[in-house]
Amino acid sequence: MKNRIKELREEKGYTQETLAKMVGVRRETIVFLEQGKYNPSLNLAHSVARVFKKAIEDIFILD
Amino acid sequence: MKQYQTIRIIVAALLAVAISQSIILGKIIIPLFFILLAFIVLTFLRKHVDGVIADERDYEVGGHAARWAIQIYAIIGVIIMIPLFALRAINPFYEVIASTLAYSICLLMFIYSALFRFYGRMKFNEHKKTYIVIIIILSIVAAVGTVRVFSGEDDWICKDGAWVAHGRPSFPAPTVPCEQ
Repeated sequence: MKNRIKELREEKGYTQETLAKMVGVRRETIVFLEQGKYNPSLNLAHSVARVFKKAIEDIFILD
Repeated sequence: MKQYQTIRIIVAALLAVAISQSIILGKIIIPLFFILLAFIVLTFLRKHVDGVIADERDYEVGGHAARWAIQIYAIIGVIIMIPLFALRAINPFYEVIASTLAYSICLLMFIYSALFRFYGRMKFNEHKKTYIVIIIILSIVAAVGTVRVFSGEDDWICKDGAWVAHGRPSFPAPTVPCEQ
């Protein structure tokens, strides 16, 4: 699954650490998410979508 | 966060040293004291950590690691256990080691299966309490059985210069001379 987390995070000017704190995960998880190496739970995907004020399907794109 | 993780590794290392020393000295109170101390120290430090210690990815990775660890332990245990049982005539202690391995593998599988079923189904079931009670009863029965096996009730006792069977030992009398 692809995602636009890195693009949206840089747009907002957040560091990985900041985003991690905002969604309640470790920084490493954000790294793995951005690299597309980890598929988040629905809860985490929802938290990320809420931070960026977007719909989940606008951030996470199924291949 | 990193300081906490470093301290956790140091505490684990110190705990391992304390337990190994207690085995050498034959004192049980030392590891109990250190386990309690380590628990208090880590709980105290954990409350002062700013940030997430473990998240959903850690739990997912931990689940995979735990499942593999159980499988590898069980396979290695069985591989070691079978020849030990086969060679028990050479040395009766081999049977004790093999039994310990067998019981630990069974216990591990039992706990894993019970928790797997609980988290997979029973947690959301209305018979949850019944399930927990059954598991507790089975655990007590298993613990009593284990104590019975390892209690040394069935053993050879040195009496008047001869080995006398106490209970029904499953292994032959020691070959060393009986001297009181």
